[in-house]
Amino acid sequence: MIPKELAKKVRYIEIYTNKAVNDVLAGEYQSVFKGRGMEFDEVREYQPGDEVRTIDWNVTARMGRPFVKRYREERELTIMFLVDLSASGAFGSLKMTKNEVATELCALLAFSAIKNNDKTGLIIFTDTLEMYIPPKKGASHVLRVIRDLLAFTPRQTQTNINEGLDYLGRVTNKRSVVFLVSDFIGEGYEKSMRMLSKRHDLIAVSVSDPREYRLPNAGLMEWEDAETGQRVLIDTSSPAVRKRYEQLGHERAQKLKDLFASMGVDHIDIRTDRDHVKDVLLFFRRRERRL
Amino acid sequence: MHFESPWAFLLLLAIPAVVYFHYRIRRPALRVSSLMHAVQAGVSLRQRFMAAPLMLRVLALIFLTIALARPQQGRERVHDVSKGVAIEMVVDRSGSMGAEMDFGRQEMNRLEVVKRVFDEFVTGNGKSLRGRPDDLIGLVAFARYPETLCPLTLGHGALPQFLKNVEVAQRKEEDGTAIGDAIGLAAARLKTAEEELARQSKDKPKEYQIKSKIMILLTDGQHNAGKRDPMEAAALAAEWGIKIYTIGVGGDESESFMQTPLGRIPMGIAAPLDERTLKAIASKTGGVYRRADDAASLRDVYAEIDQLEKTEIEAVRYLDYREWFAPFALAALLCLAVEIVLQSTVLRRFP
Repeated sequence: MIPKELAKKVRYIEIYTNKAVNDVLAGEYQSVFKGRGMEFDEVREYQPGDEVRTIDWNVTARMGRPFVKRYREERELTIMFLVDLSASGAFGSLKMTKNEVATELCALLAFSAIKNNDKTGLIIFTDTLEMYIPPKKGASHVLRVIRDLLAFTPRQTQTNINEGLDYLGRVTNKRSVVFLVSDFIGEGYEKSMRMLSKRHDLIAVSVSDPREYRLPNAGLMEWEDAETGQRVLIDTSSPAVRKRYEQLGHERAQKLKDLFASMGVDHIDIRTDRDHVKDVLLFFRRRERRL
Repeated sequence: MHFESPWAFLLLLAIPAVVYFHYRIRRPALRVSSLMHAVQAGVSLRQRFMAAPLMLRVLALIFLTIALARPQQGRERVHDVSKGVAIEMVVDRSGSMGAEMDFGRQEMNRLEVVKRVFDEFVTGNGKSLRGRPDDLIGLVAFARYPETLCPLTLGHGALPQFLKNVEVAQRKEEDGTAIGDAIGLAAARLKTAEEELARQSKDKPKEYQIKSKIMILLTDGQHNAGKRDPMEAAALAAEWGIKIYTIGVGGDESESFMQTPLGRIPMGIAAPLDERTLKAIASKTGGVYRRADDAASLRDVYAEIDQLEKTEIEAVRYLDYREWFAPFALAALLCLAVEIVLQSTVLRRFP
């Protein structure tokens, strides 16, 4: 992308997501991502209704009256975007490819993060680590993250989700909110994800295209795997083939969902044929209800 | 069947290359995120036929190569003729030749029988007559006047056509039997032919040479017309080295007919066969006289002449071939057409 075009695109995303952030998602973000890390606030006298667990026995013993310890939620969060920009994302049957949708989603969340004065970092991976931007505060930093995401051309094509997960595990110790944006077309990432989800607030964002679930009747098609270059001929006009394809697609989606549920990882299902703002909103609501 | 240019089969070596490139050439393909479901989605019936166009193309190439190699089949055996006998056939076509005669089980007029047996003599009938492929053959017919129907030629393919034109004399004024004039004309023909060939072979020694000259005179009557006496003509022939075989046809009782619009009208007993003169002509020129009353005996006479005038066959080679490339080229075209149709309809790929 040439810089002018890129600037335009960044600007568009900024305006578009700002609107969404200020309008549809107003307030949602803050209420959802309460920091889990607690910051000591004060010690005050026990009042009926206070949790007995919170009584600070040392102070109580010294003063002779029951005191409770108050904590403050750490408001400042670190948001990490783990974005899979492998070649499989360069596919989209509608106006945007999966990678573009993923980028816009990250932008949306990043702008939401500005409001909260959160730190935002970025890790781009394919089957290797492609780029790392350490988390930082500020709107200009967020814009940089978005620009880098948009302008990035990956060196590799294949997918290895472990690369991104492991790198994150190495570079950050602080508990952060991690958005893992990928189409999850890959293998062997379950263990790393499980481990990471123990330390961080991991949110899996799966990006998919409707054509991955349903085939149009378009006769014999020659398909090429964007990642491996392997080719296959598929007869999309055969009802049996189409039915089987649809079944496989839905099975996979269900399997992913089940996998994330079993890890206790939140899941946002983004599709290129849907408005992702709505998906994010739904996710926020769901999460809010649970908290 | 043999191939005129077998080197063309080297083109078959190109077939593995065609197959190789068919699989190697990167056809346009739709880039999708993953093939994992497409691979598992199964194979439809149509997909099983995807190899058909390639097979058809290879078949077409094979057929084209065969066509290029020029398959041929020898059709006509041509003898290497450099020497032969010049045979002038002299046929009587006077009205009396219209009389009936046995031909196998059929009755046919004499002239017709003579024509058929003569044709067998020239081309061979596979039995007693072996054909005379190496000889110059000419045809002179006569009634009141002799005429040359076919000059001496090696191209015997034309003879049946000339024979067809020989008909029994219909009109009174052309009827008659001018044996003397006929012998004279035929003898002159043979002589000029020999002279012509002799002149040609001076320039090109490989040309055709006449070994001997013979005349087969076939008649059923008595000399009764023309300026020249038969014996006089025979003497002339003998002088030019021409042998005359004489054949007398039909019995003494032969009737002559006249063809009119009302039907055939018997014209009474014609002049009987003049065997004495015919024998004299034969003996004078060194030939023989034979008599034939039906097709079988006529055939025997010809067989005898065939034996007497034997020519040794030198070499046989095939000169004329039938080309068989057309069916192969057509098959190739058909294969290509089917391939193109298949690829643009049922087995059409996207993109």
